[in-house]
Amino acid sequence: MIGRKIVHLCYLLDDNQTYLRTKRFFYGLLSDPTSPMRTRFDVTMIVLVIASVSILVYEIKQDLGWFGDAFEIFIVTVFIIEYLLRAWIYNDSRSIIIEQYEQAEFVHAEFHIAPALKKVLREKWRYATSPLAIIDLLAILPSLRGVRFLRIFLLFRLFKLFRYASNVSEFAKVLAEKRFELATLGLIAGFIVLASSTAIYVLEGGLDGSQIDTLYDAVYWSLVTVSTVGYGDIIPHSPEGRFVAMILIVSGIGFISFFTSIIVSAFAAKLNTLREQRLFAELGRFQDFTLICGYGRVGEVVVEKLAAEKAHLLVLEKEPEKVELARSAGYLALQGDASDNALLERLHIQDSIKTVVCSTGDDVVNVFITLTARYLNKNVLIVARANKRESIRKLQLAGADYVVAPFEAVSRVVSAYVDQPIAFDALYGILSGNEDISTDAVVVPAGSLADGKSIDTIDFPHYRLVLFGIVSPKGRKSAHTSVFELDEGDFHFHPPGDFLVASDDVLVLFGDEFSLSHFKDKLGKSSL
Amino acid sequence: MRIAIFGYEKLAVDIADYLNKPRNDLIIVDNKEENIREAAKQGFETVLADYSHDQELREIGIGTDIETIFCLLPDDAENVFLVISVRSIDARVPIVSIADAQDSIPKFLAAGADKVIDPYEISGLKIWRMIRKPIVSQVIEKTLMSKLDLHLAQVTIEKGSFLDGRELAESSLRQQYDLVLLGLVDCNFGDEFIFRTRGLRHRLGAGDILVVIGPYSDIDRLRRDLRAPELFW
Repeated sequence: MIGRKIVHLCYLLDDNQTYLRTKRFFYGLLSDPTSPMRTRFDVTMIVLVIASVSILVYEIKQDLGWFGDAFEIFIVTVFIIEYLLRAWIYNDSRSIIIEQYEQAEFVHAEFHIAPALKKVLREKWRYATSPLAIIDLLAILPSLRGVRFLRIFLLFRLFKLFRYASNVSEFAKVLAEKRFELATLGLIAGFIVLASSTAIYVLEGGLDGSQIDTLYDAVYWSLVTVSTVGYGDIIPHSPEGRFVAMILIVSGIGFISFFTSIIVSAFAAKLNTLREQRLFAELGRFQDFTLICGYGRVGEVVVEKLAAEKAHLLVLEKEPEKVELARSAGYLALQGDASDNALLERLHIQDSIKTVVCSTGDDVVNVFITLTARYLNKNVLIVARANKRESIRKLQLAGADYVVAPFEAVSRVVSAYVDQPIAFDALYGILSGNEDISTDAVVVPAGSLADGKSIDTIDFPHYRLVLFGIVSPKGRKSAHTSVFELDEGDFHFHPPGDFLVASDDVLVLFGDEFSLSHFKDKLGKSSL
Repeated sequence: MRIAIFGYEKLAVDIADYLNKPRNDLIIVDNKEENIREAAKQGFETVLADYSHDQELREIGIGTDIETIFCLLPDDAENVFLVISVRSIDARVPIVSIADAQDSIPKFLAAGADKVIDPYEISGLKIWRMIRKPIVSQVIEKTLMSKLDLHLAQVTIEKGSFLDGRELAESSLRQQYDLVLLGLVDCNFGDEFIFRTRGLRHRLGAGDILVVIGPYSDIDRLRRDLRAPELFW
């Protein structure tokens, strides 16, 4: 009878949207590593923990009166609620019961509530015995005023901080990885301490004027000596005791250096992973990353230009030396094979990366990256480099939006040199942009000084600019003949002086950087 | 014009293709037999030569009938050596070289190359332009870099033509021709290209070279009006 009621209740809960939503909300708040709410919650809890510990420490000698008590009650309430909530969201008990019930129904067996409840309790017990849950529980204890000894559990409140600071748990993980080395070291150290404390106790225990009365003193002295701390409150007096001390001192130095090297090497080995984690965290912060696969000469130029504009970018390169090069230049770089499917997926091609540049020198790799990126995200902009003529088509088929072929770009320029070396200079300047000439497209805002004006009235020479042409929506009527079709509209080359500029037209201009930005500024301000 | 192309690999194949026009008389030089065979298959005049020897360079015609030299070998060091060798034989012949690494560009210039092209830089910038300035990129690709009727050309001002002695006043050009004037080279101030907005108050003289963009017919008309017998591309 009770069993039926419980099962019925479980089904009710499973259908109740409010219940599910509430549970999901608390999961996001407490547990979900990707939720921004959780970060805020963690910070709040860290502040609360530090405040409560400070107050408890202060109260050891001073009395804060009602405020201290009230605050303590508040803290403990928060902790208890948190503890219970965590137990609640740890798993779905109702699903367990429903599952058990349905299984029984399925085979027409009689359903017993007791085993199902046992299973539920076992799951919750697993939560209660997890290290973090134990710390949570112990952190509640220091407020039991009567038991002074329990005050030491105050420390567990500090341990609670681990829960809220992910970097600290990283440290613990590193140590855990060196378990074997640390255990070996601990074993040897334990043996040495045991041996030396026994020796000193045997040699000096009963001696007149000796400071070592008990075995406890002997162990204390050994530990203080082997750790190279050496308080000097207890010292050996006999030559034999001093001999033990000498051995202990020498081995102590060995232990310390061994211990340090274990920790350091563990971190050195972990460094790449830690760096990667930081990188992934960085990736999550923005949605407009450009991923540059291949940091060769081409990639380097792209990165340099993008970085100068403070664009968010990430370099992915296979060779470690080149990765180092990118890092030392201050760019976010990751060592890895760009044709690795899982890696690209982890890089959040879906959310964080807006543009992918395949600039490796190997067309096979470029095609593969293009395919993978296109498969992962339909909307990402892919620019690929083709090193061979026959690869251009393949890259387009693979899903590249633009294909750049170094040979093509160059041969056109080079062949210009033969007849027209001066025109070559100008063209090379326009293409490389490192002369005074830069080319830019400026959108005309509605109501700005160019909107509705003719070319002659705008007076480009006054702004020290040369108008190359205007891109306007397709189908604009014009008596002018030199019109070239682009994807976005028509390009009117060198429009006549009475050509009227409309809003949202794009002016393609030549000029030096300064003149261009000055003009853009003017245009933007005049539209306000 | 007789042009020698050193190296027939990767980029060089395409450049040779581009230069392969009736008015150009190409000769491909390489020291690898398979490259020479490939070039011969395309119908080029070829020479299998070890270009590190001055004697062999002379036999190709450097210092006598070769008018332009392209150094398109795959290795920077080889190219630099070639530039120096050629320069030591012929002090005036124009030499164009490609550079693999940015650091080697000054070396090429010191060795005596007239123009050094960094193909990877051009490609990198092209990629950057496609990402950040898609419209500019499209306009350049679809006009200047395509086979459509819009060209970048140079026009020399002849003595006594209508621009000789005039100030660089754009309006007279602008009304009569469908041309964008980019800039000029003043023969009195060396051979450096001056962008138009930098030299507004400039007085044009005979021998100055204008750089314009426009359709074939207008460039042609301007050339005729300035009585320039030069060819264009």
